[in-house]
This record gives sequence, C-alpha cells and structure tokens, in this order.
Amino acid sequence: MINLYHLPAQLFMGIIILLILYRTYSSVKANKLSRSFLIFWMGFWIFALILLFNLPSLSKLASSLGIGRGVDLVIYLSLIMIFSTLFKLIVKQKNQDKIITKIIRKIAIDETMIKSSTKK
Amino acid sequence: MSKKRKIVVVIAAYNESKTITSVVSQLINIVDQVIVVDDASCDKTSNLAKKAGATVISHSINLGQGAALETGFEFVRNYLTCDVVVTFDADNQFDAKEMPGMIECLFNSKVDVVLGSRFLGRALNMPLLRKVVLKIGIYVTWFFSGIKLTDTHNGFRAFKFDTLSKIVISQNRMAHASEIIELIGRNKLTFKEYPVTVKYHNDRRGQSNLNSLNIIRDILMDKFI
Repeated sequence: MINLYHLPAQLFMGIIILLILYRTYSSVKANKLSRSFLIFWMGFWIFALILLFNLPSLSKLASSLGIGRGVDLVIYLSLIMIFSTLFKLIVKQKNQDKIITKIIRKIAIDETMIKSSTKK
Repeated sequence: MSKKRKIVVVIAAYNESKTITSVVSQLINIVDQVIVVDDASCDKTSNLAKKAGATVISHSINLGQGAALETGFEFVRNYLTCDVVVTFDADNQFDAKEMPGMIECLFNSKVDVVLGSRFLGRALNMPLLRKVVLKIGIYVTWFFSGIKLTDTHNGFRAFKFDTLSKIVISQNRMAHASEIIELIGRNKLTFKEYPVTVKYHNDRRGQSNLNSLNIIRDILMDKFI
C-alpha cells in the first residue's frame, strides 16, 4: 500500500492536515466553532487523511463516481468547498453590512434629534 | 413656486467642503429644509453645511451614497412632514434654479416621482467616456427593472412625500440609483422625466468610470445572493 514514490508528498500533505486538525481543536477549546461545523470539518479532514494514505481506494472512489483519476476527485471536491465557503462568507458579510448600516443610521439620526432638542 | 408646498431636500455628501456651502446656500432660499447626510467626511463638510443652514446628519463611518440617502429618507419619514422630497448632489453639478420647474412638473403631471435627465436637458463639459458609461447604465437598468429612461444615474429627483415609504434603499453604494428605478417599477409608481442641466467641472468629475463595474457587480449580487 505504501508507495515510496508518493511517500514524500503524502507525508507533506499529512503534516498539513494534522496542523489543520490541531488548529480546529484549538478553536474548539477557545469556543470559536459551533458543534455541527466541528463535526463536519474534523470528519472532512480525517476522511482526507485516510484517503491520502490509501491512494488506490481514492482512485476506486473516483472511478465509481465516473471521474478518471483520484486527484481529479480531490480537485473537484476542493473547488466545491471553496465556492460554497465563499458563498457563505459573502452572505455573512452582506448580513453584517446591513446590521452595521442600521446601527450607524440609528446613531446618526438619534444624535441629530438629541442636538436639535438640546438647541430648543 | 410651490403654492405653499413644503419641500425638503436630501443631499448625501462625502468630502464636499469645496462645494457644500454654495450648494446649500442656493437651496436654502427656495426650499423649506435642506438635510445634508455627511457620510463620515474627513474634511469640514459637516461644519460648512451646518453654517450654511442645513440640518446635518453625520454617519460615524463611511457607508456610501445610497446609505446616506436612505438615512436622509428615514429621517424625513420618521420626523418630518412635507409635500415633496428632492434628492440633490453635493458636488455643485446641478442647478438649483431648475428645482421649481421640476416640482411643478411633479404636481401638474400628477405623477409620484419626477426623475431628472441630463440627456433631455443639457450636460455641459461631459467627458465622452462618461457619456458612454451612462448610456450603458441605461440599458443595464432597463434589463433589470423593465423601465427605460434617458438617464438612470441622475441624482436630481423629486418624490411626493407619500411615495417615500415605498422607496426604501438597500444598496449602500452607487447601485442605489438603479435600485430606485427598480422600486418605482415594482411599486407601480408613476413617474416622468424632466430635463435638467448637469455641469461637469474640470477638477471634479464625480464618480470614476471604473466604478460603473462595481455598480453592475452590486446589482448582480443583490439579485442572486
């Protein structure tokens, strides 16, 4: 199962995945992540780690989905992940912009009203 | 001019210290109240507008022209009563003397909104590229709103007070101009275009032409996200 030709790349990627898992674990300890996101995120990277050291099964999985190579499957999944994350971030940013606008507007109008009532 | 109609002007201003005094001074004698929404300017726009006689509402951070106009509208909706609300630009490109005619048009034509058009009126010293960008804007707005105007990004507009509840701007930046046209269409408000003069000053050419790409992006984002 271990192919020496792939081993350096597998070790390099494996270390990166372990670092991601460690960062995720630290964020959980700091209460920065929701439970559902934690399960999804940890599950995704543990699955990636298993496939990384079991390349034939990655190729099998890819071909069962009609994709030629395992690496193509990884690229497609990564693209889906990137776009869905980007979409979520844009929606979140848009909602935050709306909230900030409301707050700034309320403060601005209230201040004007307070100033005008003080003048009177 | 107004048969005792109460007119309120809303101006969104950002770093307009060079022109704001002149703009407010021209308006203050022909309307009842001038509201300047200072969008967190770094210069003395706010103080100068106040000195010239305007009611100033100050944003603590810069939000964009659309957000500033909506702040002015919300202030008018909640705290003032009037017959007409006019939007006007702070960069001295419009001629205040054209406002009485626009307001007469609003009541004589029995419409809800009058929209200024530089292409029906005059555009003095307008750069060619700006003209092209504005013409493209007409078609983009037509595509999204179903309303074809001769000038969609003109900040000189007059609304009957009652219609203001239907014009709630959510676009913070420059795409608000297209959004206003869309809201007019969606709420089935009646409108008419009115010829106005827009003077382009050599040192001040308004928003950059590249900003039009941001406007299209904002419109698309609003549609799909």
